[in-house]
Amino acid sequence: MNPAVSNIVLSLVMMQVSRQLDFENESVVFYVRAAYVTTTLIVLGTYLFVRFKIQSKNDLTTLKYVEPANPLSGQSDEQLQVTTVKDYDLKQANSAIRSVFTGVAMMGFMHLYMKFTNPLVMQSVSPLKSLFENKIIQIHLLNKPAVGDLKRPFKAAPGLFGQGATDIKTDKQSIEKAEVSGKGGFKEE
Amino acid sequence: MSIPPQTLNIPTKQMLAFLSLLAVATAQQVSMPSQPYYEHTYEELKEMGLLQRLVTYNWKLELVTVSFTLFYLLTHFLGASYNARLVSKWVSSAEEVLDKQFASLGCSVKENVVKDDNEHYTYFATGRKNIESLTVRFTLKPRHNLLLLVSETILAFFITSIEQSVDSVNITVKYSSDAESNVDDFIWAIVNKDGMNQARIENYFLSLTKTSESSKLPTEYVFMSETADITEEVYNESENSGLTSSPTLLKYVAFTDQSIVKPTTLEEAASSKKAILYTSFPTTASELKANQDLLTSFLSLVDNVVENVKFRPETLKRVKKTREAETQKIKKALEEVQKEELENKRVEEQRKERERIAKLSPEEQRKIEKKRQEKKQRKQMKQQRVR
Repeated sequence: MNPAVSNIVLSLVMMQVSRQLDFENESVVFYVRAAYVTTTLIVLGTYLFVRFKIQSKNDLTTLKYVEPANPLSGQSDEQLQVTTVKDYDLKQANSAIRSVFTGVAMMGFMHLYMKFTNPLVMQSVSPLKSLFENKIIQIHLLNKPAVGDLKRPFKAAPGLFGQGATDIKTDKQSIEKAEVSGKGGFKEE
Repeated sequence: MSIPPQTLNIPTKQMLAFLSLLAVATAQQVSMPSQPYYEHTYEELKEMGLLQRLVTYNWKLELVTVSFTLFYLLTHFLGASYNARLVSKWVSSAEEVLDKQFASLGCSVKENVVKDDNEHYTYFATGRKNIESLTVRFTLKPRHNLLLLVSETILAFFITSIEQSVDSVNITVKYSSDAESNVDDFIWAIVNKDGMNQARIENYFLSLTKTSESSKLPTEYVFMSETADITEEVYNESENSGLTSSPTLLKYVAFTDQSIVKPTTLEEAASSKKAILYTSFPTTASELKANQDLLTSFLSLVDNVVENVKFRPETLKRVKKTREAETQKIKKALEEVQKEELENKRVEEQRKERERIAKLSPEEQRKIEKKRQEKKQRKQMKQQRVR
């Protein structure tokens, strides 16, 4: 199933579950908090373990692909990336760890400052789901072969209505063209 | 105390003053129960006398700030001297090799190594066959600034655009003028896979090359070269393997005639031949030894490039074509800028003209308007006639 669709289904289910819970009850709040903290620690620990695994595997196969322009991050032109499987995987793992911390910061704001408990219930389940959907986890922890969907560089996950993000190019022609384009050493004024 | 007070020099006096403050403060901590300082009235404080007031006052804030400042100063000096020690270690080890090859070592008679700031140092050598100068630029972690070092490490993880600084050594060799005329235009490099993307992004000349793995190199390294036969010509596995014998030391070794920064004018795009050796910082004895070998291999490769390397005409043609295409790009960009400037000028002139007319009397304005109309009509007539 499309992960975006299953996410919605999951959040609807969890909403019904959280409706059954009595958040006025101190001990219920305690258990919800405990569940959230446990999930976060498990997810964080798993990513750190996978990071360690990537580093010890030390796969130095070179990987070339053309990254599309991303005006949001100040990259106006498409750019060739020349990296290794190890560095690519580490980058993915790091960005997953970053998103765990972002989630914690958001939950901290919502729960401690805004006093919402509902999102805690949701966030005790959905990180586990996305953990097992993460391609890095599938390759290094579930030992799935890196072919098809898991072939590096990973394709961007399709959106909710099936629209794809601007894709990474891996065909020989665009790589060869981008490789000698002389885009390096650009000094911003 | 046996020393008469007038013989104490000033720092000692200050130290004593500070120590007595500390003593008073700790004493105050012990005899806590009395009323806080700010609750006494002015008259009460006046009555107390100096010593009593010092005892009553709560020195906590002062203690915290002073001890933090002292701690920060201490780490500053420790960090700065550690950086200096790293550099001097590198230099004394490298000089064992360079001394045999260069006539003159060091930046000047007074200063062997020049300290640019606490994280940048420069070293220089000259007087050798084929080489006019060898400039070594050291870049170190900001160890003298603990706060920066820590915040950089944390932020680098969360914000991808922030780079964590690393200790590195950049050696640039400029050929002597007669050697330079012997060297063809070409770009060629051996790059460590760890950080090769960064190298391509930071160096314009590397972004003109193709990256390829090779059985001639250990798995940690790749060739970046304009054409495959440049590698064939420059690199000889049996002679040059000293470059890559230590997998962690060499970041890249490069020969280029193009600049590091992307050129924006034709002068910048002109050929400036140099050889660059970029390494991480050796610290242990074995790493320093490996660094010596690396330097020797590098210098012998420079000699080889100057004396023996000659490319086939087809290679030179391709190399030339790349340069021409790049200058064409620059010319086009420059023309674009010029066009824009002209357009801006024209708009500005039109605006000035309108302002001038607006200031004139209504009579004259009408005249000018009429003239313009006539001009327009004539133009239209002409067009009709052509049809």
